[in-house]
Amino acid sequence: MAPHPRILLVDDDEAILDSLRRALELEGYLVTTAVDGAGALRSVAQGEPDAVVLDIGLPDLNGRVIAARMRAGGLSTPILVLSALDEVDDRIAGLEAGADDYLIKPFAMAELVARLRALLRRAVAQAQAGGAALQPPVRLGLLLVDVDGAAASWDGRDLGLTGRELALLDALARNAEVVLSRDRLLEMVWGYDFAPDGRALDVFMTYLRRKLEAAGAPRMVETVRGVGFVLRKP
Amino acid sequence: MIPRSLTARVAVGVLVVVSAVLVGGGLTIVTLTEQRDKRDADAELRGFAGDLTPSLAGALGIAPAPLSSSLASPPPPLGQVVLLNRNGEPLPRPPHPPPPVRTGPPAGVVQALVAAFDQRGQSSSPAGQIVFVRALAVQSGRRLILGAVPPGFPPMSTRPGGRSVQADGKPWRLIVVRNRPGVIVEVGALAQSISSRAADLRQVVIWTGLAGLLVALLGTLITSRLALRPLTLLARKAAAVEGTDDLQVRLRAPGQPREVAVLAEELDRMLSRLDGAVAARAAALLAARRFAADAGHELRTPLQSVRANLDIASSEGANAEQRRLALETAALQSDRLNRLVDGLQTLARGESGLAAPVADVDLGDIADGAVFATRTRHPELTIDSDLPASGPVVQGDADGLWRVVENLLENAARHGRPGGHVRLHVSGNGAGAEIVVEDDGPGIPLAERQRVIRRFARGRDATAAGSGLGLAIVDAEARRHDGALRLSSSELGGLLARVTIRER
Repeated sequence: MAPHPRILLVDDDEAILDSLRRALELEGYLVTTAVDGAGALRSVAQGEPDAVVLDIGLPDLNGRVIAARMRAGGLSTPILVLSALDEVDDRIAGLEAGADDYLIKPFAMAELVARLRALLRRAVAQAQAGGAALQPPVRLGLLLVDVDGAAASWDGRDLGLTGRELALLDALARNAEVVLSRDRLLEMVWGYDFAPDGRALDVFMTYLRRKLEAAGAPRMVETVRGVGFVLRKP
Repeated sequence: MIPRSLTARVAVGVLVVVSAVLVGGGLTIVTLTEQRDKRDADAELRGFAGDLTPSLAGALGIAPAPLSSSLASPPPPLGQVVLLNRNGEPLPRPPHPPPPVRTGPPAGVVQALVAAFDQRGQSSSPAGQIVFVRALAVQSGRRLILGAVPPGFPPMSTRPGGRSVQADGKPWRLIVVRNRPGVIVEVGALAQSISSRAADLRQVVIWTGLAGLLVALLGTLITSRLALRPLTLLARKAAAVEGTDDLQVRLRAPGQPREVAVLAEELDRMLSRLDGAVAARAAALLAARRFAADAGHELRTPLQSVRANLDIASSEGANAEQRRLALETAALQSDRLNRLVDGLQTLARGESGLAAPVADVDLGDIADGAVFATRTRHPELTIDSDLPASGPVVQGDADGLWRVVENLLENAARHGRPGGHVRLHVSGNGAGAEIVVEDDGPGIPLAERQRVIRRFARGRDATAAGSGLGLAIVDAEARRHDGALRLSSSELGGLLARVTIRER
């Protein structure tokens, strides 16, 4: 990891932007800021940051749209969405559009820093692993998960997964018939060695199941209550 | 274009129908009358021709004319008798008095003919004025003309029957008869009287029709206004609602015609729905006002504490230890503020009365996730979770149901025995699902159970750490899902909270 990862911080409230910037700089990050969606997209076009912290409720563009555009533009670095409690739909839509996790305002700085650190570490580890040796695709019956090709399909039909959904399916598929605990999945997919507040894992799991079923797959991802999740071989 | 007023529409409709009937009827009457008149006229002309035939035959030298003495009368006026040769060319006009034509008929016969013709021709009859008679002897080709044939008149037809022609700017009726072999007689009459009678009749029909239309129109306007009167009254009554804002008014009244009664009943149903909605909105507004007032009151306390501690931290007199303590306290109070605001927002959504979005939600999966989150927050707690292997699936809002389970568990964690035991049980049946959370804490006395569900109400011995909103949120979300929250005593010793979600 670069000694000083670059973070793009997007929020329309100057006061929040300023305090978050100072707090992140204290942690050793190089912070670029933008106060609206257009500025955020411009900033990404000028140089890819190592991670994006994105407020979902911006005046010009919805955070969901910005996340989708960043992903469409080829940005693969982690996107962490900030939202107010009542912006449930936007928040979830943000995850669907390609964001990796969310935090509900107000949050403790320690929480933000812990997640950023984990997501960055994970991104770097993946980049290095990708550079060293390609992960062979996993095939289970009609299911094909190709994490390096950034695609998964059922019976030849692309599932249209976002990066984090793909990583989740990859982790489950590589451990088919093995029950993975929530802690383990958080570690494998997000790099979290702590259990974050909120229900991002459940939301991602819901989307993953929905997309699999939409492609015609049977219900493969099971919840083993009290333990975790398992992918059953089809 | 369709007129706007119902009365006008009915009137236009009646006008169209009545006009069609009148035009059709009038045309039929006029046509039938005209045909009958023509038939009568033809019969008369034919009779006249028949009467004259013997004399004409005589005059043309076909047979001796049976002359009666009465026909022997004064000589004909000049120019009324023209004798034609075989080619139809006029023979030279005889001088006055006409000398007997060598080959012609005797003068007496001609005179008698002319007299008969004059007598008959001048009388007016349904057939109109008889103007001329043309006769032709088939064998000899001799022709005879009585009266004046207008110049340019079509030549004589030899085919028996009637025909109408237009000549000299007037309508003519011509009848050809062959009553007697060897002689063809054609009678020409001005048909003006028939056509003028038809025109008269047409006038009468038109004017009568117009008058009938006018009467029908007026009648329709009056009757439709009368028929629509209950509707007008209904509209007036409905308009009064706007003026008074009185939604209790009912528009159905005895004596209303069936169609209007149906409308009135429908409007009454709408009014009562509106009435209900207005009442509900008023109640919601009142609740929102109380909510805002309560929230303001509750937020003020921690805000005051944050402010005071920040003042201490920034005062010059404070030492390092005092500053650190003040900042820590401010941070703690700000956490409390966070929880309060979180809770208020959740509660506001739950209490807004908006129906939860409908989607299939696996309540067991939701509970499983909430247990994991609570265990993370409260690792010291023992949580027994008793969930079916899959399901129950209910219809509702995943986020709201998550808050129900999470808040029940959080409540048990905070108000149960520290490091104690919490039991979660989720089950479903055909009619819905049930979430039960029990703890082994002190519980809540029966008398206080209803009170603690209200927002900002805390148990008497509860710590300040709680927001006082947990159970209120659960209650609001449960009601949003057509369910309910009930509190009772657990066999573990503490509180048992049961939320039922009714299947929709």
